[in-house]
Amino acid sequence: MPHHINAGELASDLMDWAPLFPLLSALGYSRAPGEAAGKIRELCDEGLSRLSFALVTAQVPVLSLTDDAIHARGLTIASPNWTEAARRMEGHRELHCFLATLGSGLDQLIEERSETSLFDGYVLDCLGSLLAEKAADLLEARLRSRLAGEGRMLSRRFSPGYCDWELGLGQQALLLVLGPKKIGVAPLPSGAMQPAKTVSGVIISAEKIPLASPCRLCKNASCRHRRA
Amino acid sequence: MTDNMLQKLEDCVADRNTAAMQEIVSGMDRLPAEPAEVLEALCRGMERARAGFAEKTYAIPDLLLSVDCFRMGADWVFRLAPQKAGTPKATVVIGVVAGDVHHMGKNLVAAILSANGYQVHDAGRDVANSVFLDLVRKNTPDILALSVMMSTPQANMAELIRMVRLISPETSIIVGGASMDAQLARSIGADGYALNAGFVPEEFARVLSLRSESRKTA
Repeated sequence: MPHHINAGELASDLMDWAPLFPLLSALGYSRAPGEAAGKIRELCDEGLSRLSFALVTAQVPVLSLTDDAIHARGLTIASPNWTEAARRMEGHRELHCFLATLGSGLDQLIEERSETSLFDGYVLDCLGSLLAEKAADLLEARLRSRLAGEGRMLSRRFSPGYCDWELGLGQQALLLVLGPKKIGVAPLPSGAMQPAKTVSGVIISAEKIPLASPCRLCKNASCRHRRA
Repeated sequence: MTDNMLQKLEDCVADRNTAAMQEIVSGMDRLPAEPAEVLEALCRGMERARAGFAEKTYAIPDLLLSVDCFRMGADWVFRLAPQKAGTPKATVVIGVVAGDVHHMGKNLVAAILSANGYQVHDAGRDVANSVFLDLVRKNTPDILALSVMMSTPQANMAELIRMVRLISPETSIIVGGASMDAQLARSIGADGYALNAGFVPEEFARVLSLRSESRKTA
């Protein structure tokens, strides 16, 4: 049964989220930033007003696992680490692929404001990064709650360019099943995407998932993306 | 009076006071001193802000507010005295290499360099190697500054460095960006590496000094 997450409900979740305090923290303020606080609040409101959130998802069954790749219908994930994590999962496995974008309006605003003020551009850019990541968090949470009712579990989400899934080729493979043009996203050969505030990834579902990510199998203790 | 005004300009930049700076630059149609003196005052303010950043009393956005103040002041000087603002310390071509669209770090470095007396040609982001090579041929910069946040365009950056060495061996190359470190910078043939914008003036001065030494011994 497909578990499509609706772009409208996710956009609504995103607008309900209050990004100001996380934004201040992401900007490097451990306490109130004095006079800059008012400017940051205004920029935050302006940035939110320029969002045009769009989402595309695809749900594909895993067909097989080889030594170094997960083979699903229309998508091969060339990641030995994630393949090993998937091998330990029990029951029917499915990949939930997603691509979410905040739209080109925010990119344009960042560009315009950066011309006259690096401060404005930086604050808006940081806001965009936070919102894109939050959209992925919200999508993961909605999917987790929806599948829990069916007795299915979810892995952590993962994206091309992280762990041992190569960015350029991984992004191309993932976007082939998602169709980025539908939501106005254009990938670059390097794996970067435009609009810049766009996030892509995969979550694996199965009946039992002993390892939500391959981090516990990995010996790279200094990895800055290591998850418990 | 002049000293007071110069101090006020310096303080505006150091204290991130964009409103006060805006008032000055829109309210005065004559510079309070020689253009070079005004620019020096703005640079002193920028240096104080950078010290605040190094001591962690300023966050990055605070430093950027100072940069915004500096740019307002510098634009004012160039508007009122376009020919008298002094000669640049060195010429820099800066840009984000092809395949990468992240340019916030590059913009900050470009602004810090301008605030430190460098003449900066900003090539933008996702810049093709051919565009960089044309800019190097045209401007013969003292330094080519290349930024990359992602790891995938690094191979292309290494190729660009190799080509710049061939067409302009006198140009020094400094790299930076989230996916870079000093060891990687050396391994792809760069002369310098800046961890973040706070280290930029020292690293550029170090590379220029090495360049000047090697010219003397050549």
